[in-house]
Amino acid sequence: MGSAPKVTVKLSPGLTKKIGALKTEIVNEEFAQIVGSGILNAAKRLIASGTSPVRGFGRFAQYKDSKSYPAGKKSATPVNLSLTGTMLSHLNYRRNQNKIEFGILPDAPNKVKVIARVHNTGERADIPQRQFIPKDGQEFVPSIQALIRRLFKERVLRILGVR
Amino acid sequence: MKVTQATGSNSRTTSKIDLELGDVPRDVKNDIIQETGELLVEQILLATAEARSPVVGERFKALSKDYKARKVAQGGQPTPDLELDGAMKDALTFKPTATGLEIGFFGKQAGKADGHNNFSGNSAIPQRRFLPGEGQSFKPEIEGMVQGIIDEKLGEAFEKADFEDVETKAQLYEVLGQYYSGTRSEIRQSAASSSGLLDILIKLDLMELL
Repeated sequence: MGSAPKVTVKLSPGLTKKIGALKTEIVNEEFAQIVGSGILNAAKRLIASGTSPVRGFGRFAQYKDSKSYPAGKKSATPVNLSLTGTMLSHLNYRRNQNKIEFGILPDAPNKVKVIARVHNTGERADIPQRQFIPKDGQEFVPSIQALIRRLFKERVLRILGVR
Repeated sequence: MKVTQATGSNSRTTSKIDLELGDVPRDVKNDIIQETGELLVEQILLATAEARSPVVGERFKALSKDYKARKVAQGGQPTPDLELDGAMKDALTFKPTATGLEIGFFGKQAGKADGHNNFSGNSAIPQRRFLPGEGQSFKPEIEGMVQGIIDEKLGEAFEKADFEDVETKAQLYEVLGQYYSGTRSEIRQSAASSSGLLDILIKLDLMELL
């Protein structure tokens, strides 16, 4: 029911073998925290600005009739997927062995999972698709990819002992 | 990265950017341009939503009391985020050019955009520039991300055969210098951005020379 796609950063087989030979874990708990929180913060900033953190989706669709929704309960622009903040408070990450999972995790309340799914899939005719969690085969936007790349580069260089 | 031209009118308000890539394979260049264009669009949208300019030396003046009240009454934020109905920001895009890209507005939102950027010199509203003019630049954080894209993609242009005769550090850096520039330290940092390139160096046991 929940949407919790796995963020998988590809390290080439040769690199993994070399690092494996050094008996060093690439994604240890500390590193998972750094990468996971980096992705989470970057994604939340983009969502708050009205932009999807999923590559290819651009800005979130505007409200069809702002008098009907949000009807003064909040600003009509930018469209930021937040009314009470409950759904986005459950946007999170966790480590899964040498990968990091990002999304609405399985322990989120069912209501939150449903709302998140509606936004991500566009399954309701009255609510446009506003995807904010990548599915398998999709990517984060370039700035988040750049962040992940930079963090992994720094970690790999440190493990390989290259200054 | 250099802004070579800025244009403002009712039909076209854009900045032309030369990415100064030199002689790189066409497919690598196209990848760099595509990803850089997408990155710049999202960073401009992010910065303006936070009521700040992504351009060095530019600031967004606060809204006047009257306009703020009108904007809020129409459902907008009380800040200079350059968004009332969202139409202008929805139209921000880019097109590839021979040396980089042209970013901005190519249709009916161009006039509104020039109102904020004032490339035409005719705008009557406070300047809140979010596209760089000629000679201006994006903020260092953004330019750093662009450089990261370039470094990673350039690494993909190398092949194993490029390094097969390398035996010394000098020879390694000569090969890397085909696409990377700067001091050895800068080249090392650039090369480390490409896991594909690192993989080649590991397979050929050249990491110690890096």
